[in-house]
Amino acid sequence: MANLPPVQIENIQKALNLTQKLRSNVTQLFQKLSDGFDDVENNDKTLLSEIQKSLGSVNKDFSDLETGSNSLTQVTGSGNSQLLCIDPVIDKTSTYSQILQSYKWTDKMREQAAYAHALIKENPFKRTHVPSGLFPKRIRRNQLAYSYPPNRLDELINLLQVQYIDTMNISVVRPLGSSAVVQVVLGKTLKALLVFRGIVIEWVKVKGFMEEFQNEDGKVDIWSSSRYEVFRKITNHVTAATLHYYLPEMPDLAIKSIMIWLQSYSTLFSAPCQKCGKFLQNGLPATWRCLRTKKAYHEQCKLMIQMK
Amino acid sequence: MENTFSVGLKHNIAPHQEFLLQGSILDSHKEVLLHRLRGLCDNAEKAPEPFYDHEMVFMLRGATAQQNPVLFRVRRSVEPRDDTSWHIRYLGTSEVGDKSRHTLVRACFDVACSNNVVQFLNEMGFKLDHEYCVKGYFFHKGRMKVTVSKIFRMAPSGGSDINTQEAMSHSHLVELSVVAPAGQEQIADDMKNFAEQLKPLIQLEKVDQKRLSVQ
Amino acid sequence: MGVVSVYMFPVPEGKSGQQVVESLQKSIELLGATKTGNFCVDCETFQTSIQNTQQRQVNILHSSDHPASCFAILDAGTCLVADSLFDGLMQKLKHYYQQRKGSKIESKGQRYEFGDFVFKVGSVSLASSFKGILLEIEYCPCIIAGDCWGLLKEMASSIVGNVAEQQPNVIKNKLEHVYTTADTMCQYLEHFNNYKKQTIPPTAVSTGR
Repeated sequence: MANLPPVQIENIQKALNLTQKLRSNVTQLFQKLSDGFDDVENNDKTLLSEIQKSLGSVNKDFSDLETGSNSLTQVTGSGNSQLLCIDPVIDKTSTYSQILQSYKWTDKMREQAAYAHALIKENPFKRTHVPSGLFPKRIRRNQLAYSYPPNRLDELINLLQVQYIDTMNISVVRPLGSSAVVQVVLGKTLKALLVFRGIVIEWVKVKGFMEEFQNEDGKVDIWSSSRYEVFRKITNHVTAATLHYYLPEMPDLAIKSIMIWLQSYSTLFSAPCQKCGKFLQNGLPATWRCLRTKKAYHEQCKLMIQMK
Repeated sequence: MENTFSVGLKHNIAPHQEFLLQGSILDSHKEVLLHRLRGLCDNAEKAPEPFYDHEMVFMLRGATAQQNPVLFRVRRSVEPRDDTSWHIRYLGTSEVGDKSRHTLVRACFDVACSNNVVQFLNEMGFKLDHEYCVKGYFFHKGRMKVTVSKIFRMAPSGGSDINTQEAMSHSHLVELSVVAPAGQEQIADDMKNFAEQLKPLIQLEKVDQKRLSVQ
Repeated sequence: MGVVSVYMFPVPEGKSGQQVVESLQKSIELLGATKTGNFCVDCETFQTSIQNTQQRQVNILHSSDHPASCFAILDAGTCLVADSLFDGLMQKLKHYYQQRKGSKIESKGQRYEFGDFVFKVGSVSLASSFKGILLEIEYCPCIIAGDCWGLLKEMASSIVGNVAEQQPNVIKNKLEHVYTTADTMCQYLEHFNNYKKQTIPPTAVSTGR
């Protein structure tokens, strides 16, 4: 590095500073966006102009960085580090061993990244269609499941409300604009919170009947988990079920079938496991409901059935 | 096990002594007083807090002379209707004291309870003595509580609709009170100072209730 | 706050209460439960002091799990849940209701938690003499006794065996309703009354305190 002209070092320093600045600006912007539009006193206009301002600064930082990076030349070779090995007093500094260590790490990381890349390529778990360019026509025909207008979901929920009036109490709130948060109260057994994006379920939380989904200031709290182990377990199961029932082509059907499935939890405490015939296993009741038959199973009993 | 109540009494932290000043204002001047109180009390930026309560006074009467009747006042909020607002209030006989004491002092127990309290007291042998509705506004400054309220007779039908109820008078009752642990006499001075600030709009005084009942 | 069942655990002959309590605690610990402190449920009885009127009783119960509350239960089973200041109100009624001497009975012991279950092993003492053992099992997530009775019974029978078969009267009458702590206190009162009946004949009302 010492061979580099001082201008070059200065440039590198500058580029590093710019990168830092860009990062902090982007973080700030995302922070603002994730905090949401719940600030009632500010109207939309000020909010929009604020976002525009931060977007502008991000843009400016980015172009600065781009121009800065153009002036940088690639550093070839590993510089003076090659000369380290001919240093006779190698034992006095630990630099050489450190460099060796970091080289090993980099190598390992490359290897792992390659594996991960291959794996992800094999099992794509993208939930949304990516226009690949090959079938542009077909994609235009299918409306994206998350871009349905809000009233579509309202209609669907109204339908479900009437249909399951005896067993479930379904209510909708929209705390942050268009995304709907649906609360389902199932008998006197449990409460479930489903967060929608468009007409796709994005997030699930299950709590006990006596627990609340509102925090002290009356806002909907979608993050906190249930106090009880059984409902934390069911939260996991319901999340798994939303993936199972996920049908981007027919989102209505997906929601209807998950509601029917969710209803089978009304016997959560009263139904023994269909395999072992007992109520409890490790202090938990039969928390799993079969996705096809809706029969009650313990988590471990379910695994044993699946293995057969 | 020592229960929390006896622990509370021993360490003198359970509030059970009420300091009270009372007054009355004609309906036509109520707004001026509310305005003044809003300026003097905490949370001036908020509108005065309204309340509308139903109070039932239950009495336990003994057969013998040595058993003084005991009164329990059961109160609940009518508007907004709230099942958790039920409570029993016990008030001791009020001591007027001499000139050096600025307020009325009486024992006071406020005990929140579940909504089956009426049935409970009836089964214990209490009889309903009288009942009424109170509607008004509530202010607080520090630990001082100020209520400006009007008392209504219960409608004969027993309904709690304010429109069918008959007001007892053309004036509002104004009460300034603090419930504190025993022995905190200095609070009476604070109350006197506060009452001074409301003059001449209203004269808050210690009202000897014994003399009232004789008349 | 969930559904609770309180069982009376018999002390077999030739064993001391302490031994039985220890063996119960051991079987709960073997289950995998962790100790979460002590608990205490106490009960005092007040009685009408006038002889010629109808005899009435008020039982005042406290539970260490609800330190700010006080449960007052009448003979008919009406249970008032109130602030602990209610004790002060009872003192104001001393010309009408008087505390029965030597009526203070309590269940005291260890509290355990296991998943969503809470166990309480209490030894009952009346006027500081040992009377028996009460085991309380609570299943916290559920509020309808009828729903989780089977589950609760299964858990109980793994600890107390056949004793788990007996369904408390309070639960029997409230299978479909929302279960509350007041119902737990009624169960304790029922057991306390049984213990009192077993041993001492009803004593005369004490005069003055």
